[in-house]
Amino acid sequence: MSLIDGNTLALLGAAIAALAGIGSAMGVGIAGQAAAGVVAEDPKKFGKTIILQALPGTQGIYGLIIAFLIMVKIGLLGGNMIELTIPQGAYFLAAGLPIGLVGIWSGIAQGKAAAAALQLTAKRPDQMVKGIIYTAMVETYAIFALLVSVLIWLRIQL
Amino acid sequence: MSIVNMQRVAVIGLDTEKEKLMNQLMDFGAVELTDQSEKLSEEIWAQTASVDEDREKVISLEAKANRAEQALEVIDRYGDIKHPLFRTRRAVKKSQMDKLIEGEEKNEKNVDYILGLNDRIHSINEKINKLIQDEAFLSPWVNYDLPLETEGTETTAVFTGVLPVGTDTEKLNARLEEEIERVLFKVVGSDKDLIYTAALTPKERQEDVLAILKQFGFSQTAFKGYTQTVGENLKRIAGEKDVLEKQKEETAAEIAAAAGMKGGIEQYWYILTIMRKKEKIRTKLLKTRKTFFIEGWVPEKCVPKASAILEENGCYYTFRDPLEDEEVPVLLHNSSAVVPFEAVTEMYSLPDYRGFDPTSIFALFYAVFFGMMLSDAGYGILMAVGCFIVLKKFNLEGMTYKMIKLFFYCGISTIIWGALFGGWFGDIVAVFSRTFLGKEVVLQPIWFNPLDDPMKLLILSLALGIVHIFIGMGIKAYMQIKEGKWLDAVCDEGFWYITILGLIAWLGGGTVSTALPKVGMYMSIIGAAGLLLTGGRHNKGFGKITGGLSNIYSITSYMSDILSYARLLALGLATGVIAQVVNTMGTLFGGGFGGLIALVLIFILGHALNLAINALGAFIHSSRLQYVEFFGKFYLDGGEPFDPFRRKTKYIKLED
Repeated sequence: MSLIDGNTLALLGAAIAALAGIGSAMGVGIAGQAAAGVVAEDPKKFGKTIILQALPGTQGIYGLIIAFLIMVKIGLLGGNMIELTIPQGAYFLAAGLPIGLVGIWSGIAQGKAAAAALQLTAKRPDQMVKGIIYTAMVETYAIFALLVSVLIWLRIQL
Repeated sequence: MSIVNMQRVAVIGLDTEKEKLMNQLMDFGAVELTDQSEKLSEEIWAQTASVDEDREKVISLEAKANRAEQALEVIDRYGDIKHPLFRTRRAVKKSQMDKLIEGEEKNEKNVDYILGLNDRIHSINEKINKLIQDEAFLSPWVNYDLPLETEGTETTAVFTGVLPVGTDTEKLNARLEEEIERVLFKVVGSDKDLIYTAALTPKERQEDVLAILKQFGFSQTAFKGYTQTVGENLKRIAGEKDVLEKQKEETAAEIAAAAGMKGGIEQYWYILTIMRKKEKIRTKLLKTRKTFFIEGWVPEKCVPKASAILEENGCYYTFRDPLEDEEVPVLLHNSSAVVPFEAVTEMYSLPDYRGFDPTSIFALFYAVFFGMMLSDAGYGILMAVGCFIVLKKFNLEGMTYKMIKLFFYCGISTIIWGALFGGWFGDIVAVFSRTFLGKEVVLQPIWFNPLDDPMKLLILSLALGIVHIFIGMGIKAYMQIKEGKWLDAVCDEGFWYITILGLIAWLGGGTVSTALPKVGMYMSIIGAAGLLLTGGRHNKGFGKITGGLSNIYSITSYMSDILSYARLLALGLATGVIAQVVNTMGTLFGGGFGGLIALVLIFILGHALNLAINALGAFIHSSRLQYVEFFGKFYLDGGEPFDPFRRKTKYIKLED
């Protein structure tokens, strides 16, 4: 067995998909800093701020979904990994790339938008939903990346 | 079923009838009075009329009402009253409200009493804060055991101070010993910023020691006003804090004991608010010596009743339609099934009076999109049942009512889509029976499983999107035709319909019939030609050509709008896959009793999290599809909400 076989590539795909968590962690962190500032002024806003803070967290979840789907399909969770050819492994790598890469940057960008939306919520609590919508605009592209990843994953024939 | 038609009313009446008329209008609660002060800038009005107001009375009523409200908040905060999940207004019979249960004097006394206790809590809090500051100041010095008032003896001097963290104290000590000889320098404590030190020297060398210390960044700390050692001081502070905390608790208990005053104060506050409203509305009146003048808006349906009231009070009045450029307040009226979806419209912004209220049109789409994105019948049942219980248990009003009812509908839609796609808490039935019963039981989807055939769901999503967008364009066309701009309707919407439908038939019609692609091709060419020729019709000269080209180019925006609906598929899959992940994780501990407990715990935690995240996502993205893709095609926003002169207040709801 050489160092790089199909299974290595497939696992690499799952690992890259899970990297979307970087974006979410940074995004949720950025939003959390802003949220703490808002709550320092008015502790009653905790419930509102937690929603906005959670928004950039979805990229990490999307990454987890793809990583999980890849692991299920190659039988990693069942204990018996299927022997994959190099092209098959490369397909899984391709499936992991979109959400892994888009997740990182969209998570960060969404965190910044969420921080701004938190400032909006601090000044005009009644306008919070608009802040949520602004923040969710960023998410669209993570959703599309998730879609591409899922579609590639679905079409991989074993 | 849309925006309520308004009538402009103008009234002149006798001053003697004013009080009675205002009371009746307030009870009627369907007339919005508008500000008249602008009229006074016209000379003819300024000569005869003036604004009817008693500013001092408004201010004094406002002050009293604010105090009463503050007292209510204090009782709420310290009182032993359970806070329900949703704040509802107390329903009170109207006949009970007209007379105060207790006199004004008694009520003022009660308010004073509550606010007095509140002030006491505030001052206790201030004292506690001061002690906490002292404590923070002293606690790094806890190892310094000389009494703080000690400044030295006859021949020696003691001083204390801080050095920045990282200072080389050993080097400092060596230097001191070398130059001063008889000196005692000690580090008594340190934290992440500072090193706390004390020094003892002969009095005559004090200045020299200080000079050396300062070279190392020393700054002196004085304990002015303190006596005894740090340890004793800290003990004293802790004792005082305990006493104060106890006093605070006692005061809070006193407030709680006075919670019985709440009903009376609430009613007192209500009457003050109504009086203030009545006083304040007078600023919208113009008066002469014997008459008054008001203007305002009345919903068309309420005109007969309003006329009857005005007639009864011997007023002269006129009703008329709004003028072309007048700003008219907006009141939405929809059938009760659609009312919850007004929440979505209101969150965006009310439509302009001359715009269009699309609530009844997008309501079904909203619920369908939400259901497709959450798409798990189990989650749908939880949502629908939860919202149903809340609606039954609480007497909700306004925005809260609309939101909960909205989620109730969305929950039902989620049940339907979940059943169609075969999602019942993911695949819990199959997982459970496989692990614990050793059998394969699968709840078959009624329609199809999106994971098996995602293309089918993608096409369905995009098709729904096209219908949604086309309806939005249809509303725009309807608005244009209503304004008599039928040519715009044909050029802006008609050609796009032809082009988009043509493109679909051209590219995708082949699977249905062989003739379709050809028809589609001609349609799209005709449509595109129309767009190219008419796109620049409002421009001049060269702009006529570029206008057409940029019009064609906006095909990209239609494409991106339609593709945006792919999120229906992606988010639907996300919910389903996460649910499966949760279930799989639950079975990692195998069968048997221990495995069952693990499964139940993971099931509850995992699905609660998944439901929370994906319900939020479905709500946001369903709203977004309305706001960006749908409203973007036609919506005219910026309406001011209709705010009639009425008896509505925050705490009390009147019943007849």
